[in-house]
Amino acid sequence: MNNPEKIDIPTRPKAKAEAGSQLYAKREPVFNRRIDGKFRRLKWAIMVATLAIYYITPWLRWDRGPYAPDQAVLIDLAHRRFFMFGIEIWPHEFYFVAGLLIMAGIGLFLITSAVGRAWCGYACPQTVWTDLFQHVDRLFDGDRNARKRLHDAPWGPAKIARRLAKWSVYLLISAATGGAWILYFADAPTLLREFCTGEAAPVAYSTVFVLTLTTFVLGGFMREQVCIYMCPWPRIQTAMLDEKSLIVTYKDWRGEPRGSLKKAEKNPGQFGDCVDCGQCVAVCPTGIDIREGPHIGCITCALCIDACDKVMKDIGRPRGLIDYATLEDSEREKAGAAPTPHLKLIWHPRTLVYFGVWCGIGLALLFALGTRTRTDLSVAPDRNPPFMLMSDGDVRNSYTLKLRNMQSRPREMEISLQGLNGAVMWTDGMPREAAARSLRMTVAADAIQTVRAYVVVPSGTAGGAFAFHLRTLDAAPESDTSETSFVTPGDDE
Amino acid sequence: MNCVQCHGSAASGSVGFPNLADDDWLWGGDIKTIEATLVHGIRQPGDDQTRNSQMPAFGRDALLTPAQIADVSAHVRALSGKDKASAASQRGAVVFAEQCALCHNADGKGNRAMGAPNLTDAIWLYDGSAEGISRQVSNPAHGVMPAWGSRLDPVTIKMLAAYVHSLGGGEDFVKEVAAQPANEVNEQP
Repeated sequence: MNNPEKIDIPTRPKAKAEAGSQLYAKREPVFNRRIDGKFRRLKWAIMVATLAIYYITPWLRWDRGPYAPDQAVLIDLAHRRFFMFGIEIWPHEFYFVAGLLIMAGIGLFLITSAVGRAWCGYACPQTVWTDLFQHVDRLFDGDRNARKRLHDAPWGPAKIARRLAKWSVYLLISAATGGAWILYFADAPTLLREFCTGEAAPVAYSTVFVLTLTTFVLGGFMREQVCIYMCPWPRIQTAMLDEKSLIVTYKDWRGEPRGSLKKAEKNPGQFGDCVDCGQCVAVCPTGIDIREGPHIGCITCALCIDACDKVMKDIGRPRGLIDYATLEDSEREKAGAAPTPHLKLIWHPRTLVYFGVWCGIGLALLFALGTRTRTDLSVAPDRNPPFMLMSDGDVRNSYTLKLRNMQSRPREMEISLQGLNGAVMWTDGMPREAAARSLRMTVAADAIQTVRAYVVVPSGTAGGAFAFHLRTLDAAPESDTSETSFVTPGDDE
Repeated sequence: MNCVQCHGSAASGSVGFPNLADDDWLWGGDIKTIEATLVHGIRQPGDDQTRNSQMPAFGRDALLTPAQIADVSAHVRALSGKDKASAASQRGAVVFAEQCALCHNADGKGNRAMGAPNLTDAIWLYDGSAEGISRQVSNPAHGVMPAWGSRLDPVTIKMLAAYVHSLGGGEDFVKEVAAQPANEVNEQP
């Protein structure tokens, strides 16, 4: 770097000493410097992608015909339906969502065991929004040193004006974040219109209010404190990292002892590659010094790698003084071996096992999704009275049938009796004269239809097990059978 | 809340209290008749449209001799197919035609206008044994029901009538009942 700014390296050890036995260290403001490099560009790309997914998804449309909403992704809590493009999930199919959550969990294990805290560094909402807010800081207050100066400056009209302007942008971003959240739970255009005209449900306003507030506070002010003090994930990840996981590593065997370029020129051979420029600390969004070794505050965003690579390039030394490396490989490298390419390090037994489990669950879910039926029949026999004697001596049992049509169109269905010879049935909407072995009815789109069925057998018929059979009478035949039993007075007369 | 005390929680009645879920009706099983029965009650003094009828106490008032009563019982048992026709039942048939057919009809199928039960079916409001029938002929029991018109509002009574009609024995379906059961999606009030 030709004209390096003078860097103040935060004196964390001192702060720790002052804190004494306290577990909480007072927050030291982080003024991270702007940096460009391949990891910063990756971070940009992921930030744009994740924010785009978050804000755009509710506005995507998906035609499901006249009987279902046309929002591509919709969590319809009021009607207990979950729509995701071509997939509609009913409450009793919630195991799909549970499966997705398990996949997400194992996916995190996989990512962590392969590339360390990549989730923390790139994709975690806390990281993405903190990053966004830090860019807002930079836009309003300038880069590291200007921000620090402003922070230390006494409060005056100029500082107040700047702060208010910046905080209102924070608030705008926060409101957009909270506002986008509710759009997943109702028709987005309608809800937005209602929201703006004051007609939306109180829960919409309270949700937006709470999420705006949390975004504003967590993203605007608490930032890395959330990762260090609030989030359980760093602890879990710490337990999952092993000597084969990629973590951001300062290669101390190459860097130490540190010394400026001038010192190194005077005493060739006595100093390592680290010129103690402090750039790695200056760019860190959580304000740590990676050269102290692995750190709970390190979210492995790799911006220090970008910074160090740039410095190394400027002073003509090889890149990678700070780099992704595994502990195992670090040992090898310390002993003089060449670093192993990262792609080779990712694949070790643990990641393969996680990947296998993850794929297995995914395939099982896909299989279940492909083979699930969109109709369902459940039968509940009346227990009181168990049977009814008819005037002609016939015996009648009553059943409550639930016909479930999970497609977004009305379907013609036929219910028939299987077994129980001589039995006929009718429903509460028709006279006994119309009784038959099978009945037809239309079940409304996306609905459960409850039918009271009366099954009658001639006097003297033996009861016992039989079944109701449901089948659809359209181009895509589906069927379901539900076993039940018939009670006759035979035993007690 | 109003009906279960007598008709039971599943409307299946008990001895002396009709089963509302079967297809045997004393006064008629179409929805209008059920509603009228509900409004005016059964044997309610002070309601001139109440269901009213009285079976003579053939034994208590000595209208028939005990032997004749036993014969009639045997005939009624034979009518419903519970016993085979016998000498006693044939003697009873003569008595039945003289004394009972006015209300219960010559064929024993009853008369709903008078609430006279069908004696040929398998359903017995009171005891269906020979002794039970004799007892009822000698000294008949008569059920009563409040006139709900003075206690419940008309809408509730209509709902009750529709409910009773839907219990499985309803008669005279005028049309395909349009009221399909509520769909789950529309269950919010």
